[in-house]
Amino acid sequence: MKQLDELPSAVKVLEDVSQQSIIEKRRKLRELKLKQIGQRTSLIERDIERLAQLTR
Amino acid sequence: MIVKQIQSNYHSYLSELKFALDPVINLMRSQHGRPWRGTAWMGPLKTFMGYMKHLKFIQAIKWASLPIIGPFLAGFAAGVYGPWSIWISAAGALLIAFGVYYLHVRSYMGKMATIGRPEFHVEAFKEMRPTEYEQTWAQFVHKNDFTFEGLYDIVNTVFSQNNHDPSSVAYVVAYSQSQHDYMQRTVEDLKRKIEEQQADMNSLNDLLVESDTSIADLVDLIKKINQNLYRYVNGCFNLHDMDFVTGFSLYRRAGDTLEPIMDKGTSGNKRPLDMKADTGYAAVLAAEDPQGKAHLNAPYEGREVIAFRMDMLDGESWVWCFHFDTDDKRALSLLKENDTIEAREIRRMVHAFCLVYQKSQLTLKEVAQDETA
Repeated sequence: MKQLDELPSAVKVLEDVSQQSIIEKRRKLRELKLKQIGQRTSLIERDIERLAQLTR
Repeated sequence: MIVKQIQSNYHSYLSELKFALDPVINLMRSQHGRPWRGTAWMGPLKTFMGYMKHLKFIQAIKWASLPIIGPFLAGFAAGVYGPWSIWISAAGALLIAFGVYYLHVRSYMGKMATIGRPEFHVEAFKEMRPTEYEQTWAQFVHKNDFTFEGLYDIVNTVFSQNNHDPSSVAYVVAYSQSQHDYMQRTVEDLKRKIEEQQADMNSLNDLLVESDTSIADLVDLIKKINQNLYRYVNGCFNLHDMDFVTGFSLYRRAGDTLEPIMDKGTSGNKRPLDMKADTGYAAVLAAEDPQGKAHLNAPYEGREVIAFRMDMLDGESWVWCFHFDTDDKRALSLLKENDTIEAREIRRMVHAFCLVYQKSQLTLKEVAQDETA
C-alpha cells in the first residue's frame, strides 16, 4: 500500500453529536421500519383478502 | 380463439337447422289434433281429379265414334260376362272399384306419414309411426314457444362481440380476462410487497445486530478501562496500555512544533510536525483548534486519522491521534459515525487517562526531585 504521509488529504472537522441524538436516531429508524412493516402487512393482508374473494 | 370457433360452428349449424326443421315443426303444430282420415280417403280422389284435369287425351276422344266403339265394347262384355247375372256383375265391379280405391288410400296414407311430402299430416304420422313421433317430434310439437330460429337468435346474442352486453359471451370473457389481469397484477404486487417486507425485516434485523455489536463494543471498552484502572492502581499503567480503542500517536506541543511522545499500532514513521509547514496534517489543525474539536484526514487510501487537542496539567497541550483502517467498523462506530456512543465521550475518556498518566508522571517526578533535594 502506497504511503501518502507526505501528501495528506484535506482535513475535515468532525461534528459532534449528542448521545441523546444517537439514541433518538436509532429509535426513529427502528420505529420507521416497524411502521413500514406494519403498513405493508396491512396491504398484503388486504390483497390476499381480495384474491380470496375473487377465487371463491 | 375457442369462443370464435364455437361461434362460427354453432352459427352455421343453427342457421341450417332453422331452415330445415322450423317449417316442419310449425306444420306439425298447425296440424296437431286435426282430423286426417277424411283427407286420407278424399286424397286419392282429389289426386285422380287433378290427373283428369291434365289428361288431354280424354278431350281427344272422338265421341262421334262411340256409336261404332260402343256396340263393339257391349258385344265384348256380353260375350265375357254374359253368363253372370247383372247383380253379381254390379257387386263385383263395385267391390273391385272399392279395393282399388282402398289401395290408393293406403298409398296416400303412407305419403301423409312421410315428412317432407306435400300430403304430410302430423296425425297420420303419429298414427303410422308412433314410436318415432313420441321419441323425437312430440318434444317439438308440445313446446309451442321453441323454434330453431329463436335458438339461433339467442346464440347470436350470446356470442355477439358486444362487450357492453352482460348477456354476451364476449362480455363474460372480457370480464373474466379483466379479473384474471387484476389477479395477476395483485399477485405480482404481492410478490413485490413481500420482497420489500423481507428487505425491511432484514434491515430491522441489521439494526438489532448493530445494537448487539454496539453493546459488545462498549463491553469491550469497559473491560479495557477496568483493566487499565487496575494496572494504574498496581503502578504499572503506561501509555502503551492506551490502545484500547485503536492504534494511536501522541504529540506534545512545544512552540510551533508538535513533538512525538509515542505511538502504537502505526507505521512508526513519526517525526516532529511543523505547525506552520505541516498544515495538511489533522494533528496540526487539531492543535490549533480553540474548541478542541476532532479533525480527520486520510494519510493514505483505506487509512484514517482522527486527531484532537488535550489541555494537560502544567499548561501543556497534547494532541492525540487515533489511527485506524476504514474497514474497522468498531473504530468507525466509536470515533466517527456517532452511532454507538457520542465520540466526544471516547475522546474525553482518552483525555482523562492521559491526565491520570501525566499526573502520575508528575508525582513521580516530584518525588524524585524531593529525594534528590
